[in-house]
Amino acid sequence: VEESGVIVAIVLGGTALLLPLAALRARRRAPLSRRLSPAESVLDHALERAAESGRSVEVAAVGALKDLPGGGMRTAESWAAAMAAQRTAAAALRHGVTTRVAAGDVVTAELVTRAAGVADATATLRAHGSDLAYAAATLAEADRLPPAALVQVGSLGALYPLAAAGYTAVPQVVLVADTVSAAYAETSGAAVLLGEQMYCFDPSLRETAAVRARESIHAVLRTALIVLVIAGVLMSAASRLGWLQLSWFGV
Amino acid sequence: MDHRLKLSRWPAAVVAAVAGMTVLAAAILPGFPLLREAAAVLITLVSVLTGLVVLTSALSFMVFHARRISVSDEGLTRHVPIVLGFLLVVGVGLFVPVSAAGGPVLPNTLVSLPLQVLLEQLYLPLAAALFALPAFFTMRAMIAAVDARRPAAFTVTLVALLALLYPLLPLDALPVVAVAADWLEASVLTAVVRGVLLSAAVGALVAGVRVLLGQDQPYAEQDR
Repeated sequence: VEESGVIVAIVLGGTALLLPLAALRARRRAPLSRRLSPAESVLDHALERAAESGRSVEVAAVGALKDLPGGGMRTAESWAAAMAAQRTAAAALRHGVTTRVAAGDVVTAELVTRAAGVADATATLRAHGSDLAYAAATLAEADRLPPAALVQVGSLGALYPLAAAGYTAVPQVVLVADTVSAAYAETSGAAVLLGEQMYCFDPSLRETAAVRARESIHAVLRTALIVLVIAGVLMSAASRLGWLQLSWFGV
Repeated sequence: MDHRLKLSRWPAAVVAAVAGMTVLAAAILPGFPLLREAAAVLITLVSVLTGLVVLTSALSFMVFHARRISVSDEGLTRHVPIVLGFLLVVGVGLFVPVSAAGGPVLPNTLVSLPLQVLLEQLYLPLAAALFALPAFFTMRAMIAAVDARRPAAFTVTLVALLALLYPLLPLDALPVVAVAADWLEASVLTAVVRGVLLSAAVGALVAGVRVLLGQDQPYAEQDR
């Protein structure tokens, strides 16, 4: 058994054990009304307005398949897109608003269409495995069918402004795993969910033990990561100032 | 939507869990040839299915646009170029012969020379023009962000401007600035980028385990 395999098994096994434990703990707690995060509130307000205007909410997924190697977090982003589509559709249904989906590859298109439970006719395949084609098609669609709100999932890097340019008047929630897209999205006024926050996006206001368990696990891991990053920066600063020798830690 | 599994969704959940666990186990335990073979079969099956989905979608796409030519007002301007572009790429990619040792043969790869020439002559100039557009859109978004006085957007704009100006100004002559910029790039920036990557990986890990356990079912068809 390789060393990396053992590490993967420990991490996965640990997470698999933590999830049911967190669910049990969440079940015992007294029910509390769940508050929406700022990004979820953006969508919720847009859905309230859409109930009167009759326009639909759009979930657009860049997609996992790519014509270039080094797709990075693309597969994970496709899963995040499917979950976001499922939860956005549930929230839209609560407000009596229809959902439509769009995707940048055929597999992701099928995944988000099923997850959102929308009719095939409201699903748009904008491209297949090409970021540029997807971004250009998204720009072209903006004038034809402006949505009430846009949930954009997936990293487009420097092409993000091209995809978002037509949606400046539309409330946007952007779920990404790369800092370049996040910076562009922040500049254009979109509500940005970066990294693991992509998987927590849930505007449906469901309050079940499973939802609580998911959120508590994410909160624990998020806090651990923040502590780890801050500790790393402080250690680096201390090392440069000569207050700390990295050799003490075997580095 | 209830998170408990409905009876109709059990088969999909079981297939997802068994397939996922098998591939995962093969990655963790490379010493078991049976697991490795089972994972290889599953991955091949997924590749073949993906290929079929792509093929079906391409045909469906083609039929849709061909039908719309006669019935839509935008037939000539919107649908004809799409159909022609599709036929051109497929035709050149599959049916224009390439030279080989035993004489000309039909290309067996999507990166054949005729297709490369077509892409370089037709697609790349258009792509280059589109790649230039985001610069203008970004500038417009930055001006709008400063105008609207959004703190986060203003900060991003300010940092981007400083990063742009730093190499142009003779700030390296000041010892503190040079050391601080070096430390910011080597430590803080790297830490933030790694933090985001780790964060996305942790999110994917939790989401993956939840999918394997059947707690999340993004693959299952929802009630319409």
